[in-house]
Amino acid sequence: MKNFDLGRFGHVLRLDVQQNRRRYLKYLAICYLTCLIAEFILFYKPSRYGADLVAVTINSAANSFILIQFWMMLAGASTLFENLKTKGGRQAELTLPATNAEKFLSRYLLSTVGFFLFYLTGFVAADLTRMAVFPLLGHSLPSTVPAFFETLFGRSDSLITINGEAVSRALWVQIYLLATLGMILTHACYLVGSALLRKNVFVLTSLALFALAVAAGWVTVELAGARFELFTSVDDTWQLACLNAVLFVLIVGCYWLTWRRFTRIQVVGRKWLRP
Amino acid sequence: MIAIDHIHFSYGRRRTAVFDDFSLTLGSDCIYGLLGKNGTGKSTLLYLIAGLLLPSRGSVRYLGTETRLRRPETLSELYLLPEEFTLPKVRLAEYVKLHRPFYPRFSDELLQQCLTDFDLTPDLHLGELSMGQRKKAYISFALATNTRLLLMDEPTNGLDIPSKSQFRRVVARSMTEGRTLLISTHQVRDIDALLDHVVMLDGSRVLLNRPVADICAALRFDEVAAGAPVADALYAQPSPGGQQVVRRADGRPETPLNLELLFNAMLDRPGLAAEIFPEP
Repeated sequence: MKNFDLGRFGHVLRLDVQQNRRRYLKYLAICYLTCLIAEFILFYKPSRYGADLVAVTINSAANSFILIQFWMMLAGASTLFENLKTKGGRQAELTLPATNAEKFLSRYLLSTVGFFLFYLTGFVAADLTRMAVFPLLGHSLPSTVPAFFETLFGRSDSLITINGEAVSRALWVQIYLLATLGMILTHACYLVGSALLRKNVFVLTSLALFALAVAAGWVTVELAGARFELFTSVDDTWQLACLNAVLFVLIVGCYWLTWRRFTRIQVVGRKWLRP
Repeated sequence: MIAIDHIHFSYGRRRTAVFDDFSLTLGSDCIYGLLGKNGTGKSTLLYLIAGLLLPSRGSVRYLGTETRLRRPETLSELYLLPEEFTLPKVRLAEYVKLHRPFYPRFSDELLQQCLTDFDLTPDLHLGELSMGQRKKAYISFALATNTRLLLMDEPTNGLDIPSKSQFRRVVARSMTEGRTLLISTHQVRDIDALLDHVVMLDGSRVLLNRPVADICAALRFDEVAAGAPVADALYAQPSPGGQQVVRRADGRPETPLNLELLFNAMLDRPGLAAEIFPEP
């Protein structure tokens, strides 16, 4: 038996897209409206000022949109199990003649890559709308899209120095990895939230993570007596490497938990610990 | 074809088990009627067979493979028509186009035939149908998948009287060699003419598991006037015309199967099946 058939996977993906297209259109609309509101808030007042502030404004706005994109990706992760919240949805999913790997990858791609594309489309559309509307109000600012992509995919030099002191390439890599793994772990936590919670997944997962962060901070400060400093010298590469290894293990654990939940789901009840 | 082997299943550790050390074997090329009181576990059994629920002990095998594994090869030969379902608001043609790749033996001809029998047109929109029409469309699709095993949970619920007659005709015409239908219902009068085999459950007990031909050869289902002697009746219940009785056939001409009467008789005398059909 083939555990993953590309042709069958294609059918599963097409079925997921077609069956849930109204929901995806709703997400696209949410992304567009969010970005549109952000565009007006960020650019309305600054657009009255001179050209010297334009570049700064655009770059600053690009960072804001990247932050909004991150939150949208977290919201997307919390929709991983969206259509499995009802008995009918579970019944349709479980009886579909495809392997668990094909079904899981299909919904994973739609809740991650799909959401990224929704956001990108919404953002570009909102930016174009702003550029079309502002001249009617007497203002004019260039598009934020190039700055957005340059910040998102371009080379980051912002971590080359810490406290004015140059760091080694190895340390820079670990810091970059820390930031990336931190974001991936946060995203993975929302996947777990979607697997374990039935309602208000995004809100409850956010609250749970916030509580966890507060608790972890309290434990660190009160019990370990540590201070909130990541770097005491430029030679802390191995400490960061250990932390990154822990983050990686946690990410793998989250994905395993999500997968395990998916493969053990039943049409009635929430029995995922059944043999 | 279906081998259910000493399964144990409950909906919670603190709740009474629906099935405890339950075993059942079902063959192929047959229309099975699965009967039982409300809450006895008919739907649960269908879900267990389809792999939608997992027993805590024992195994459920279909064509030799455990259904809990939910393999595509197994699922493409099995279709479950649930009692309650939701269909997307799309045209039937689009629904078929999206789902047929998963069922290699899907038959457009059979779908067309079923739709015609149900007085439905092929260009219908699933979001614009009444509940009964949606059910008929869904039944048509389920039959058209041509899976070797079709599980139906209360298929006649929501159908009007003419539609129930259409349902019997549609099911009878769609039965092909090697196909098995397992129909779970408490609306026995809707399907009694269809069945080849009767399975009656009472919790974890199988009260009866016999072909209809054997039942009709062994038992008679008569209606007698009120006050008529019924000393040889195995079971009797009042009816508008007098009494309905179940008797041993003892070589007398066969009577049509009265599933409702048989069901009540089995519930009243759980040992009746063993009495009529002793194990060799």
